[in-house]
Amino acid sequence: MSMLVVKNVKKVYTTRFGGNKVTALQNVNLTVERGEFVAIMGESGSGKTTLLNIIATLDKPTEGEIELDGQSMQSMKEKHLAKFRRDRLGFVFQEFNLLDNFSVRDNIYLPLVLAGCSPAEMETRIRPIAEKLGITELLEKFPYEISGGQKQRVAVARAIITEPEMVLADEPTGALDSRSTDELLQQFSNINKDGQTILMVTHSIKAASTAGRVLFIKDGIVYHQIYRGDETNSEFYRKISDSLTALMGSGLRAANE
Amino acid sequence: MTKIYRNLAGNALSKNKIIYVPYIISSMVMIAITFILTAIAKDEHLRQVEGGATLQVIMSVGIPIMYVISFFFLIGVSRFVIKQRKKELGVYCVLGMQKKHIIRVQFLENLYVFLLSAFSGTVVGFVIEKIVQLLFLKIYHLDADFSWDVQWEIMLLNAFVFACFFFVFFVFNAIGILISNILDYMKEEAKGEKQPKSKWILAIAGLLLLGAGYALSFTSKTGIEAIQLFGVAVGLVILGTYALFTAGSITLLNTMKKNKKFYYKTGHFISISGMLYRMKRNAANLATISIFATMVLVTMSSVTTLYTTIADTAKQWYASDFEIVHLKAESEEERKNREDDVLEAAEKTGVTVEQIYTYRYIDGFATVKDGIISTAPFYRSVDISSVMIMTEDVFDYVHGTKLNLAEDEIGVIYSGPFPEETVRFQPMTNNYELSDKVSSDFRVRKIDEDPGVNSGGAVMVSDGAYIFIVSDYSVYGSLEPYINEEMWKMDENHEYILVNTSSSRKAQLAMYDELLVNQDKYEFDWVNCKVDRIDEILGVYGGLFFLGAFLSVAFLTITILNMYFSQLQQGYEDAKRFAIMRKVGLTRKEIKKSINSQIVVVFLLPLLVAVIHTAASYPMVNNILNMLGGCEQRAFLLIVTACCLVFAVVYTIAYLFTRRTYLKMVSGAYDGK
Repeated sequence: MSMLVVKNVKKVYTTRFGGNKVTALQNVNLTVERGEFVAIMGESGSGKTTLLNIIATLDKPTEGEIELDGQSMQSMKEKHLAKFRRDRLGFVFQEFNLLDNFSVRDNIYLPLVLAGCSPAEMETRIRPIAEKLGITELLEKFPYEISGGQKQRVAVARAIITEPEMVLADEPTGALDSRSTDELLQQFSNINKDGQTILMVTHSIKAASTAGRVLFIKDGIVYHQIYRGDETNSEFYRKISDSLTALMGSGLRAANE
Repeated sequence: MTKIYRNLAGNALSKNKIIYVPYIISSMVMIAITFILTAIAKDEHLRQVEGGATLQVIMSVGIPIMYVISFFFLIGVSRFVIKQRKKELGVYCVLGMQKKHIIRVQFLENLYVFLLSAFSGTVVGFVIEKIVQLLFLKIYHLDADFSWDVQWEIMLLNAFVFACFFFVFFVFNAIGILISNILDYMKEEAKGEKQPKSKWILAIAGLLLLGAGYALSFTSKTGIEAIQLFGVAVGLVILGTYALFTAGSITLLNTMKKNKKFYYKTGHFISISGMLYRMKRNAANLATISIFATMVLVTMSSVTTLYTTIADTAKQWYASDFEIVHLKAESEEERKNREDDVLEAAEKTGVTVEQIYTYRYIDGFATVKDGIISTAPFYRSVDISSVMIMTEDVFDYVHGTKLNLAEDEIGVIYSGPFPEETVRFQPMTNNYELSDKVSSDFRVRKIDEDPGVNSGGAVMVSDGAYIFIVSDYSVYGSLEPYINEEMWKMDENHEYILVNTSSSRKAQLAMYDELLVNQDKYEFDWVNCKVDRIDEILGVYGGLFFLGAFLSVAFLTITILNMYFSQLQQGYEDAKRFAIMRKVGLTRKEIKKSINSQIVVVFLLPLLVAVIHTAASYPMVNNILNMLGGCEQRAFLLIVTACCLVFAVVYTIAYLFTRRTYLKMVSGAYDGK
């Protein structure tokens, strides 16, 4: 069974006075298998963040259905959604979203505290993760004391400490310099190898080339996907780049194929 | 071109309603209050009213105070406003406006705020001033004319003063814009802030300071002592409050944070970290709010108490309708002539005299310890109380009692315990050393008369004061060597004629005029008329009451605005934090709960502290009020409670408005939009 199933999802935004309707997602179908690392690519305004927000249960689709692990999320109440979100999903955002009034350790602990974990258990959980991400030294510092790359690693730690079924990443490299980007992507690929399912939204080819599969989204429709197969990162990079040049110009025609 | 600036300035005001409306309202209140005070102080009709002049003097004292308060308060607000809009100014700059253009827009904005608040403030002030005038006339039950005169001159002058204030604010803003790089404004984001450290020493110092202040209040026994130490107590409490809010709160929160089992619980985790952050930013502000709130409560309750009880108390102060002081008569005949002079004046003005009586007494200071009464030349330290020494006939006359004291007996009136069986007089020299002259012993008879009543003059007898009564004038005269000479000299040479009448207020005032006109002829040193004195006292206390009321309104406005703006500022920062929390998996309900608990603390803390401070100040203020004019315990307690309630209601309404604005600001965030 697929880990995530997105079926005929449509999202229409209505402007405040009910005048204009903007279709962000027309009809999106996709599945993610357990242990996969999937990247969704598209330009700004293509609907990729809307899709991620809907999968993250932060937003509701106008039509269609989303199932995680066979469980439909449309029927869930807000209270359960929040619990669902913090137990089974992990998030990494472009702008890190660390709380400036918490230490690094407390930022990582946040989802566990919400889940009612004991201090002792949190301590045992954080140790290997911090080691893996190379942030053991930073635990007692505060967000303003560390660099952007370090902040993003802290955010990753916060995302995976609950051992979520899926990590959702929204432009995780968007605010990083190229060295930090490389480090972060390496870590993503490492945790994926450990069995973590990752769904990442990006418009960076470099970021996408770390993934096992890349979906292309444009004007609210997923109109193409390519698999890595046995290719190396750089070969896959070229393939993604080629697909983009070939497909971006052709627009909806490709979707109808 | 000018139109663009006008539009920009007008837009800025309406777009930033949540900042500018409170700004305008607060300057309106300040303008209204200063106008009212000035108008009352300058009112011609009021001046002619008995006691009105006194009231005007008191009001004039309040005017400069109000201007100073207004200036510092409004400059704080204007700086806050500009700080909130830095980003917007940065955008103007990027869009190609030069500094001089921005300053021009700033000028117009200041002008609009000024015009709006000056106009509304003057109108509101005018209406309230007329109401106050009516109230005065009612209080003094006088037939002076009420008028709808518009005090143009005062209005313009008051507006002009505030125009100067606003110009100064504008100049400060303009200088700020000129010396800074406006483009930096855009980048001005909440930079990371250091986590506050525990400050045990300061926290403990705060606790001690506060405790010391409270102790002073709780141990104060006499009015004189209370007045002397009140300033010290207030200072201690203010320092203690600031220390506790800034250091104490953070130390407490940090201690809670150290306890892992306690800290790592959903509710505590978010609240403690949130509060630490809030306290670091707002502690001083909250302390200020608490202190202002306390000022409102103490001022309001004491002036109200004084005012409501003063009329009755004043009537007690003056046992007789008239009191006339003159040099001691050489003979009975001369004494009789003096009384006839008074009767003549009464007859002339048609006043019916019921009683007329001449008496003597001494009024001064002494230490009373171990059965020794040591009279002193003047008041010097808290060891020294005020004492009165009089003869039985005077006391009986005033109180309608019949003590029948023996020659070696002394009546003692004192509010505290007085265990001694006998007392003797041993005066101090003028250098405050004990002299070696010791009188014979007197047997003590404690008399349970209300010590609030005195023998005729305007001498106030408070809780800590003593009254000693001897049997007759021969005993009284024999005390001379054993009384401090300064004190003896001051009072002994004089006699007092007490007169009671059964005539109307108006007739009594006429007789008073007659006595005053002929004061020199009759050789009277001093003439006191009860109804006149009471009018005067009502003027003083009425003035204090209104001044206290206006100052309270001013303090209240400042308190509320302070709370509003600090929450607003917090809102901008919190919005971001709540958005993150929701993304990480907090439910809307949990976030709302956390917001509520935090703002409730921020709101309740100052209110609670203010009420506790007020309660702690109660014994001391009570003593002071007792001395200033007596206050009935129960009335005072009732009024304090009422003031606290009124304050709490007003504060809560203001808080609900603040909360609504705050929730609007942060709700977008936790709704995930």
